Amino acid sequence: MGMTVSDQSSGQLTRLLKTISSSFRREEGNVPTVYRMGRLKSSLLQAAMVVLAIIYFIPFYWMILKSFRLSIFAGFPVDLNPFSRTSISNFISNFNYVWGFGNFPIWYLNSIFVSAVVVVSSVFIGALAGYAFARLDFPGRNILFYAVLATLMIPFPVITISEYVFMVKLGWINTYQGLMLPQIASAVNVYLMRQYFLTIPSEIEDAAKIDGLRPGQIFFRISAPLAKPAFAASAIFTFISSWNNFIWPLFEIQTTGMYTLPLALNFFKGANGTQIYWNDMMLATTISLIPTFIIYVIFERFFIQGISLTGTKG
Amino acid sequence: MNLAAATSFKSLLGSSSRRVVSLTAYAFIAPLFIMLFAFVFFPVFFSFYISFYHYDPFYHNIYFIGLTNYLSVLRNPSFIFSILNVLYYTFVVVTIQTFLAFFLALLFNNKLPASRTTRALVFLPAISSPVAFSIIFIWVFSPQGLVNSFILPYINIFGLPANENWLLSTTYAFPAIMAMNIFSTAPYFMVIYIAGLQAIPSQILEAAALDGVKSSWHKFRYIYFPMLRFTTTLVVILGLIGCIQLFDQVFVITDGGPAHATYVPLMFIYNRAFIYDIFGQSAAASFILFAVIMLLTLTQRRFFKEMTWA
Amino acid sequence: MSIEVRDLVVEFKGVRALEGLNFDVRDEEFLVVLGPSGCGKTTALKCIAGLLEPTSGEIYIDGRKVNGVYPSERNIAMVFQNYALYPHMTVYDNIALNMKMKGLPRNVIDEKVKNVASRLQIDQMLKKRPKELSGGQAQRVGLARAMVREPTAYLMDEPLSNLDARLRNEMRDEMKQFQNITGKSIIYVTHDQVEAMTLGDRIVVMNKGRIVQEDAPKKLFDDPDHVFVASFLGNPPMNMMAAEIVSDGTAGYSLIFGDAPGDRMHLSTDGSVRLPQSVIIGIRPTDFKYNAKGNVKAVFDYVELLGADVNLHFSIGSNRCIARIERRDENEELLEFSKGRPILLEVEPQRLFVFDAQDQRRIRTEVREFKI
Repeated sequence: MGMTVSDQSSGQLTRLLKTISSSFRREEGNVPTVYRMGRLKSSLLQAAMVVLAIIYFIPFYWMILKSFRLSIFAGFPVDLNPFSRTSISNFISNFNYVWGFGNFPIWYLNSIFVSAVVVVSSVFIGALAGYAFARLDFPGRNILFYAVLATLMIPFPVITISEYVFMVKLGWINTYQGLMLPQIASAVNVYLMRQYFLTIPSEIEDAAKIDGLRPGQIFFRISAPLAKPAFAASAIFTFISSWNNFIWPLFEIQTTGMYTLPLALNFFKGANGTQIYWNDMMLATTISLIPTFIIYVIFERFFIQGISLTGTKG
Repeated sequence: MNLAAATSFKSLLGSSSRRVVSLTAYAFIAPLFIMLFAFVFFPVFFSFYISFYHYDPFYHNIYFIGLTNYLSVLRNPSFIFSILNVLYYTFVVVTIQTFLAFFLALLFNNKLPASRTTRALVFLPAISSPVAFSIIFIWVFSPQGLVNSFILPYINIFGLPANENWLLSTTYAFPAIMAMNIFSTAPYFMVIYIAGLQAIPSQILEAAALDGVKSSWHKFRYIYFPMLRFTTTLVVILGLIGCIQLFDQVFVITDGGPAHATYVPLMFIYNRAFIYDIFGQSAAASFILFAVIMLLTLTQRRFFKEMTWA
Repeated sequence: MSIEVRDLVVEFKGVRALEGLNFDVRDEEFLVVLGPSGCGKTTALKCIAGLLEPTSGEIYIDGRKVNGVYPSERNIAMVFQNYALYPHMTVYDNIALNMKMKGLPRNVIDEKVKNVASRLQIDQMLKKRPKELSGGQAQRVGLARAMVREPTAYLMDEPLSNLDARLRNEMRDEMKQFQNITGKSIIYVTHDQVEAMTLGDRIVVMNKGRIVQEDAPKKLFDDPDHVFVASFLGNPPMNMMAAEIVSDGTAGYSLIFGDAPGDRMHLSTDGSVRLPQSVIIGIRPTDFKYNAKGNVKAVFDYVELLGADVNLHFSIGSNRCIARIERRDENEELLEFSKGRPILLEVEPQRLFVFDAQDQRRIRTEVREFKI
């Protein structure tokens, strides 16, 4: 009885994964004919979607608007156009203040540097391991894969407390390597890559073996080039989580010169005691979000699909 | 002895062709496992070790104290309070965000002209850094913010007062953080639900339509709900794990206050280590939290049955 | 012998996919491995290619034992059902990859690719990518990629199964020509009996991980050894009736094949072999004649009109049978009959196949008389 339940749902899961992976190559998911709807229904539905989108965008809109204003207070400005001439000169004056405050350019560079190194190494390591788990048969494969998945269940203080102690012992507190290294091993990337490699027909690799490629060469010359969408998704995903990471830098970093943007924002927030200077605060927040938003706009497709794929990690 | 071990390992790996594959595989997983050992597995053991010690890395003041850390953490009313607080938070947030995510997925799972852009906008909070988003929400709940000036004057929600300083109120600060997190994480789970919905073969919906399953309620009752049971379990478990580790938002918005109203276990763990330098208690509290997560996840036993595909 | 397979056993998690396979492929032979899906034929092919390690057993290619030898060093080439072309490479690079891996000089590679491409008429497509090709073109590229390696043997895993019916007929001819061009052994795995009959010099029929019979196509069809082979080859398949012997006297055997009182048949043999208690009687659909002085009493069910022929569906007792009958003026009335009408059919007794119901093996005896 229990067997049937799990068989049934594993079939369901396979289907789910298949859909997700096939949607890597598709603009949108398949829309069954049953979904075809009347004009009235589709207009109502679209109206509801637009309303929700507005609700979700209001906080960001205010954030942008506020960074074009001089008032430090939290009220909603009467003039809702951020791009009038005075607004732009306000923006420039806010920007000059924020950019000159503390080490903002350095914080920005810190964030970029740390995220870039973490993305490149984490995606590369994740792709290698994901490929091995998907396609290479070796003793211990299942157990090791479960071990990787199990790390997702561990609450991060269990790990970070010790990591902090190690960094103290190694003298790596407040260093780039101390900041970056703990972020590199990512079970999510391994899982995402594995799922994608599983969708590549194994006959292609069989053909490559017969053509004389060794397993390592098959990865670099055949499978990795075919997994570009998975590399994109996993790179973007890693970038966002590294760029937004707060708790580890909070443990690891002690001087303002080493801050990454989330720490900088928190620092900026407390710069004037309990009073937040909302115009400057929102401008700082805006520019900290800009890289993520740009990447999101360009790669939205891979990003959403990457999240769906890792969302099935279990 | 070494040689014997090496040959038996060789025979385990089989013929030369299979050996090439296995050795490549070990080479491929080696970097990952080096990183995992250094930064996950070993730290877990080490944290377990220091949870039995009085541990202060700065003054080299380290000695074995058995279960004392666990006992003093469990006897600490503010830790117990933080656990209860986060369980309450988890219950509310997971319940509401799961329903909301499902609702959003039903709404956005279509190919209408407006859906792509609107879905992208709804998804924005999920990619924004929790710190940035928290700061924006300090404004939302500030005395002159969105809630006070734009929502409550026009819409009466449960008779809430229209001029409250939400984040400084012991009654409202925690619900405000809950509301913010429901708002910002529901879209993330929406994406998982959309993937689940799209995995339902269209023939099933067509067959059901022929069987007379036409109204939205019936579709939900007989198709979506039973077929998305796995997705729902997943969303609930991911939600649980995320909620119990709530930290960034509380740290940025209220710092656990006012008067402990938003105090959560990670605040306790952070304070024990970094304010009081009692790393042993911090580690012990982390493992108690680990146990809570395991217990809550194991209640979803079905899920582990379904994990056999991995 | 170009390939010898000895006692090949493959187990997946304790389940046996192959149970001790033995067969040879001679030089220049087109050997077809035929069987239903899941019978282990592809597993056997993968073992020969080196893509799968057998649990036990040996494989020899050109007299050399190749167990554990990497696929590319076995001097074989493989063609796949889904073509398995490298999607990110041009047709040219797909064909050239193997030679690049061997480190051949560029001008040699170029010459060989162009030579093979022109022989398979794909020289116009060398710059295209696999997804721009039709199924037939893609499989020709697959053949070119195999051919350029000049292997001892070609392994083909249902190479035509992904093509539509018409293209499959065309490509079938090309496969035959391919063997003539290359003059090498081919092991061709398929579940399609028409491909097997038309292409094979010899057919190995497999079922449930074992070889049931191996022989030339004509011999397999005319003289099957086994119920499985008899019913697998031929379309519509051979009619099979299980029957129990109730009496055997000097006049022959009396058998029952159903519960009704009339479900009895009578037959006598040349007496060379004594029949066992339970037998299976097989009759090819084409061996029935519709004839007023027939020796088989049957009940008409319906006819399918195929054009020049009809498939006559009828029942003998509870057995549903099919006869393939050529349309002639005198049997045109069959098209008008309604269900349930008694009819008479004629079968020459010598055309009957008798099998032992126990082990499903053929009992080689000539039937002299037959009557139902």
